Amino acid sequence: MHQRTWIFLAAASAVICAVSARADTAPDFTSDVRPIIAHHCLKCHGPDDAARKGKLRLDVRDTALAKVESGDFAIVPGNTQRGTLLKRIFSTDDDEVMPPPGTKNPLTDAEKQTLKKWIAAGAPYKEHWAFVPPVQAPLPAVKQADWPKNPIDRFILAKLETEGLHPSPPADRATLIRRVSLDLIGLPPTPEEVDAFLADTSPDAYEKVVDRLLAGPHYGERWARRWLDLARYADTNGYEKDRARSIWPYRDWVIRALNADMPFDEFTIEQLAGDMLPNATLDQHIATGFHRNSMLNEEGGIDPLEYRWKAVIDRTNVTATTWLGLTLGCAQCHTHKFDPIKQSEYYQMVAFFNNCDEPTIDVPQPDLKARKNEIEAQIAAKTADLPNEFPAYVQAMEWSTPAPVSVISAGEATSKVLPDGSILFGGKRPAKDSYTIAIDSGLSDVAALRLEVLKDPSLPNGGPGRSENGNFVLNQITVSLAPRDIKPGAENSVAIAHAQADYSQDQYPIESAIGKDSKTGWAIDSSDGGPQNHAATFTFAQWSGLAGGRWTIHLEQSHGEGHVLGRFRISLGRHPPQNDSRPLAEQRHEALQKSFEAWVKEASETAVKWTVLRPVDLKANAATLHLLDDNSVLASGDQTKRDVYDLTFPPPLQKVTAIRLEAIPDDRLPNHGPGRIYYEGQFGSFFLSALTLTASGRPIGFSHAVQTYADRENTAAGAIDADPLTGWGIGGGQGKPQTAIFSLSKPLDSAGDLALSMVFEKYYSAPLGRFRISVTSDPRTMVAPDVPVDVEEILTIPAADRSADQRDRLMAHFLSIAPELGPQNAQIAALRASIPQEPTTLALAERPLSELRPTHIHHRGEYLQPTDLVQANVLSILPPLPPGAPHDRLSLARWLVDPRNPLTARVTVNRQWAAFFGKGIVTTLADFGYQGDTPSHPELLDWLAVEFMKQGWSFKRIDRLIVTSATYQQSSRVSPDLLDRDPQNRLLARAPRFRLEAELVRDYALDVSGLLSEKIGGPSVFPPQLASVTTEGAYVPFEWKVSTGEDRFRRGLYTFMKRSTPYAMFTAFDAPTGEACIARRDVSDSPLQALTLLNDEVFVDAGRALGKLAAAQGGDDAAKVTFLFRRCLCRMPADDERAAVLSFHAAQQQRFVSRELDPAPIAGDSSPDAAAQASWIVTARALLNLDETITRN
Amino acid sequence: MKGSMRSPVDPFAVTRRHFFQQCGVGVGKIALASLLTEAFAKTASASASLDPLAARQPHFAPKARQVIHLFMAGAPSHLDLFDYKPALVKYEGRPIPPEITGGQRYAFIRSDAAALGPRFKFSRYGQCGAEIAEVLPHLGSVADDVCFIKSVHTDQFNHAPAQILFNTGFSQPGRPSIGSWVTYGLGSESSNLPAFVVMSTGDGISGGSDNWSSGFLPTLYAGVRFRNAGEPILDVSSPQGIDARLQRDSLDLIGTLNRKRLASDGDPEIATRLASYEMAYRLQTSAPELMDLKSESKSTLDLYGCEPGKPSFARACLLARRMVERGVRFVNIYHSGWDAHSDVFGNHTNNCKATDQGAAALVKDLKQRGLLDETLVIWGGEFGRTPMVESNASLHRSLGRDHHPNAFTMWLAGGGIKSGFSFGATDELGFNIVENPVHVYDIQATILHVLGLNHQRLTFHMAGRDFRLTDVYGNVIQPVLA
Repeated sequence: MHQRTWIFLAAASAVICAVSARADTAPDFTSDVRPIIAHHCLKCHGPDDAARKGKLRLDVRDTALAKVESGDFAIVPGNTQRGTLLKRIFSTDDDEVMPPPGTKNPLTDAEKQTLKKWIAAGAPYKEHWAFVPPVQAPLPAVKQADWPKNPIDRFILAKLETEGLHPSPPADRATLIRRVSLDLIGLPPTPEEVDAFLADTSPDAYEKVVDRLLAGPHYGERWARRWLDLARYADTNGYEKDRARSIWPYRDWVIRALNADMPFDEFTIEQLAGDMLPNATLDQHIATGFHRNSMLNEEGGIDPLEYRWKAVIDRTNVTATTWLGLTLGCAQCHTHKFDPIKQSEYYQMVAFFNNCDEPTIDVPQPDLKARKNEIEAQIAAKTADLPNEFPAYVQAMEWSTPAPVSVISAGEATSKVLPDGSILFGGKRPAKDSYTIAIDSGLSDVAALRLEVLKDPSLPNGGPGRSENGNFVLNQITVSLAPRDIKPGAENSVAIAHAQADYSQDQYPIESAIGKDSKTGWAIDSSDGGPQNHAATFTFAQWSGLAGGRWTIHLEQSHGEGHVLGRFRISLGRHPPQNDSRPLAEQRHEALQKSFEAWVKEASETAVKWTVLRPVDLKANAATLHLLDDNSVLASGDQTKRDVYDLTFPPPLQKVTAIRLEAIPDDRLPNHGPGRIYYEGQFGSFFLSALTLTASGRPIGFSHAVQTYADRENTAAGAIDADPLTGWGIGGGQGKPQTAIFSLSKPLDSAGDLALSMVFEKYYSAPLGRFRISVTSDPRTMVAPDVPVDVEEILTIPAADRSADQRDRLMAHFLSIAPELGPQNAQIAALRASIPQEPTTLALAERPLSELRPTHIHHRGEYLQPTDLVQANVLSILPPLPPGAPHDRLSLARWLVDPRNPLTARVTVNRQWAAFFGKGIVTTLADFGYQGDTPSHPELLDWLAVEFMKQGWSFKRIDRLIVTSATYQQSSRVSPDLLDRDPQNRLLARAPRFRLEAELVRDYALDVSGLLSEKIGGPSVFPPQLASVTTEGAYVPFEWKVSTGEDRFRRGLYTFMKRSTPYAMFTAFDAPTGEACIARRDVSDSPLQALTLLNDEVFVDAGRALGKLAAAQGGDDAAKVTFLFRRCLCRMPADDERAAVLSFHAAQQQRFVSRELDPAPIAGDSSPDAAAQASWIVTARALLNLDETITRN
Repeated sequence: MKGSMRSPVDPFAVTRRHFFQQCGVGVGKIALASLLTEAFAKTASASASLDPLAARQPHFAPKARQVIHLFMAGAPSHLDLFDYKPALVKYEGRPIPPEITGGQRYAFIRSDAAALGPRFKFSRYGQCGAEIAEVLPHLGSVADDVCFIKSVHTDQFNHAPAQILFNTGFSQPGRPSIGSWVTYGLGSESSNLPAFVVMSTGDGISGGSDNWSSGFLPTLYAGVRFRNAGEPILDVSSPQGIDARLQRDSLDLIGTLNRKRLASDGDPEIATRLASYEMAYRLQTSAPELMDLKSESKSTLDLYGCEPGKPSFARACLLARRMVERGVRFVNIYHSGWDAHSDVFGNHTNNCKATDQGAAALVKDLKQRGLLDETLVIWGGEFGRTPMVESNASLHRSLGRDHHPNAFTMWLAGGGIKSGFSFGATDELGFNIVENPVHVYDIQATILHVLGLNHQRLTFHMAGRDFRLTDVYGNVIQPVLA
């Protein structure tokens, strides 16, 4: 409300006026006059040309003294009679008085007098203080010379002395160590640390504590959380879907950088433009996550370019807030009403951020590297060894079917063995069943087991399963063997290395029947074409040497309702004996060559000869298309909901019968491509809704299409039908090359140019990222290729012409698919799947200058109303970019931390100061413009800003300077007089006292109760909270899967930050949501906070743990109270405090002992100690709720 | 205990001065000090306007004291419920002329999609003869108490931004919601319940908690969610094993130690904390009392058609009535699920079934208790739906409608609003507004107006300027004011 603002200003200027407007000296322009003009005049008489009234502009002296519209002068320096300004402000006529009454923003008498005195003194202007580079003034003289400990104190004391105030006495040492510990690392000192400090009488005892804290690993955690407020860090995308994102490596980078005391200039450059540094390191790429913390809207149907633009606007505004302390965002819609920033300058700043791509990058983890290398080495070794694994003789397996000796159905189905050795089930049909079949066989060296599932008229739908449609799901098969010569029951399990079936239902592959996951299984949908027999073969990992005995086969079927087997037959297989006496290696080699040649022959016959086409012209409506060396095309830049790629090719070979589209993965694409989907859909896939071809301008018809893979019904045929809603999608097939072949209705005989158009249209953006086009004149009907493109190409070369490399490539491919090497290749595949996935993070990548996105001014800031084009440039009120520097993001970052920039160092030290004193020297941490607060100690702010730069932009040095000052070490107690004189404590005649931040409130309770985990970094965690917090009302209910083990008790900054439904405890304590850049958190006090501390699970856990610790302490009850005070408050209790607590404790203990109240739910168990424990638990709980506990004194 | 708890500093004197001098910044820090003691309560009136949650004078005489906003998230179709367009039947199956559809952006359909006729029969209801789809019979029965605005439009064509725009005046998260502005402007009339309450039924809400966020206003003004499952307010129940007496004893010990600290340190913030704990304690009783529908008569329960223990939109409406009776200032009930991209008929049949009786019962119930005059009831979504059909076999959609920001219908009832009245009109296809366009900013301005607040004067200074709910827009819709 206006009233509110007014009261604040009055209070603020009361202090300042008391200092500066002594006697009748002329008012100071900066501290006295400009604030009046800024608040009362500039909205209509300021820098905004459009809003200006009467052609009077008052923020610049030249224009203020010029003739105005009426022909008069507003200000005549030195003359209080002539100018119209004074006449108008002193007027009592409502039509004439300024500011107009309608603005409800009248000048006070004092303000009018100030303006009058200022004009009388010649109306001197001074540049706005914040835009003048800071210099270190000589330290002021003070009377109480023994008080200052460092230069900070000289400035503070000098002002106190002018005001006739005295500093407060030093805080007591227990309070001081708690304060500095909370401030520097966000955690309280342990009782032992307090004792050590109290006992240390050396003169530098305090400095030793400070240095220990600065050097410790928790410093970076404490200060990272504050920086993350500015970075608007969160673990989800925001908006409607608010899906999870992985950007915690950026959070960990901040912690590391702050722990290492990375100089703030480097810290800045790496976050804003680390990607553009020469030979940028992985860390420097990770650092650019700062600006990837902007939100991503994944709502169906949005315009992706609009939200990209919004992210760019956000980056611009956040940069201005964080480094310049300017409300630059005001100039998005119109020239700034108060600060001299034109709307065009706003968009010049936007242009710096408008030229990025937004990649997701892998973040290899050092601790995974060894494991990864080890697996990769195993894969390489196994691959190299494949030829030596090839069976020495290749002959059909010999199968025999011994009659089962027993068949047991756990679900009590009936069974009978048929003459062919198969088993038929009937009778009861339980929802789930497991069959155990026993077979006696004298065969040794059994290498495989075959399961034939057989149809039978007695089964539903003809079988082979017993479900309504004749299907079944075999969840797991296990085999064991008891050799004859040992006791029954002493069975050895027989490992199955490999499973193969002649048919598996989609999503129910045979491999799942031998996997560990018993929720999956093998099935054979028999919906089309009636019942069918099928067979599965299970090859044993080791067979040589297996003697005969009793085989037990266990078939687990636990899927859905009655998906059990109806009829099947089990056979055992062994390799026939061999009579070849040649060395094994020779036989092996011969077998391999034989199989290989056979495969090459067959594959060569079906291979199609393709000719890759090199486009001569590439166009897209939004993206930039790049032609790569291999004639493939890579898309980058913008993308829309309807992307169209137009490619022109020179006349191809004659009689083209089909064209081939290779979709090629690429690390530059989301999820490695081949598509560019980055929101809403499956990242890295694409959706080709239409593909059309014209030759010499004539449309060419297609007959059919095939593809290597399609996401369900989204086959390539959908791209050549007339329906724009159908198309080819490969969701689930990302990261691998995918190919579609489109056959022409009739061979093309034209020799003209070929034009190919591809439309990617969906309600979200789904274009291809990298692809290549080829044609063939092969007259055969095209089928989906089953070999890689390069292998197919080699296969089309006559055998005699193949190079050694090409033959090796064919052999390598054959070895990877040879059925004889199934078990070995399955092992390799399993190894590959076990390679640990590296985490990813979001980063920026600058586009080359040749692909600069144009940046426009936007009328009223509207996305849909671009007007004039602008070039990237910095604000004219600040120093220009160095001559010759490119106008790009890296130059901008360097410019921000150029010592000539008057704002960055001031804004940064001011924010740092505010962290220690509750408010800044400039209270408006994010506004150093004309409307911002005037500094309470301008010389101190400048001195600190310069010192910060002199000290190599070191946070730790500035922090040390601040906490070792006498100002910082004062007591925070306040007398009524002082509270009356300086309620906001701007003069710092005492230390401030404020509530801990949300995360620290929780950290504190966990730490003093001994629960807090010390682990630093890693993926975000999910401490306990009610499930409904992230489900009720959330558009996409989010399962808050509570972490286990120490992750329940990690520091608050590791809690998963969900933007739309944040962790409830933090919300209650004013934590930000990550939706906006926050320079200063609100500090509220509400009943919901009380409810949280009293009743929330985290605090119940902490109270219980702390109470149990107290109960376990030696000594009497008074000693236990002392223990709790030392833990919670880092001090001893006063006598009356101890008495109050003891009396509470005694009363509760009485209730528990008498069982008036059951102690078990409180103690968490019903041990005999429960009553004693519960009484201390509820006592600890009360102490954790004290104002003092959650306050930094 | 030694000496007076107030020595050496009189915390209350300090607190009052502190209020006067500091309220311009961090106003949230000084919540509820007026609840501290009887003694202070007597002098509280003098400083009431400075307590962030104390009831405050509006800018001018209000028509309404409280608001119940029934937010139909997902966007109901104006064309099928309120804005009958026979021409759509005529055009059905044919594309709408491009000169009408213009350069409109769509979420899912193409602009050449065919027209789709109304999915329901319409009838005339009440003396005013309001034309309403037959699927809303209960609303029909209160037609004479309601004001239809058939010409609302918005800037956003996606759910989350449009919902957030409707509630906060800005399409991206970060600004305060209407409920927060109202609480900030008028304070609370209940010391036992939150001033701004949010409930929801149906599917999840696209805009999520940003719809009831306090944005840059102190967190204290954020909507407090009443949950359907478990305890109504998070942590409102004491932990297992802690009975009322233990909770009271604990608060007494906490209070004793805090007061001692206040006496020695002199920080008025401690007084605020004392007050917060007392209100928390009262909330532990008042929240269950509020949720307990035992005292409601069978006829009331029948009127709403709700079962006491079962969460439903109707039950939320009944709870809303109980809340406004107890001084809650602003109630939001979200019912999400109107996003009928497919099968408008089925979707709207179900959603009407879920909401019609409860919403109408709320109007009737408030009226019969004499509360309707002082309570503004609002019903509506974030935008309308296209006259064109949405169908897409690959998304399994047919006979649906896409998002349409150009025109939609809302209804208002009670406090300060004309009844049995209809305002604004769309063209023959319901595509564009042809008469009395009403932007969502105008709705916002009007809501504030009936509460006695001038939307241009209700501002908060931040980042260099005065922010307000209606940004730089908004006009009170004078013709709908009673």
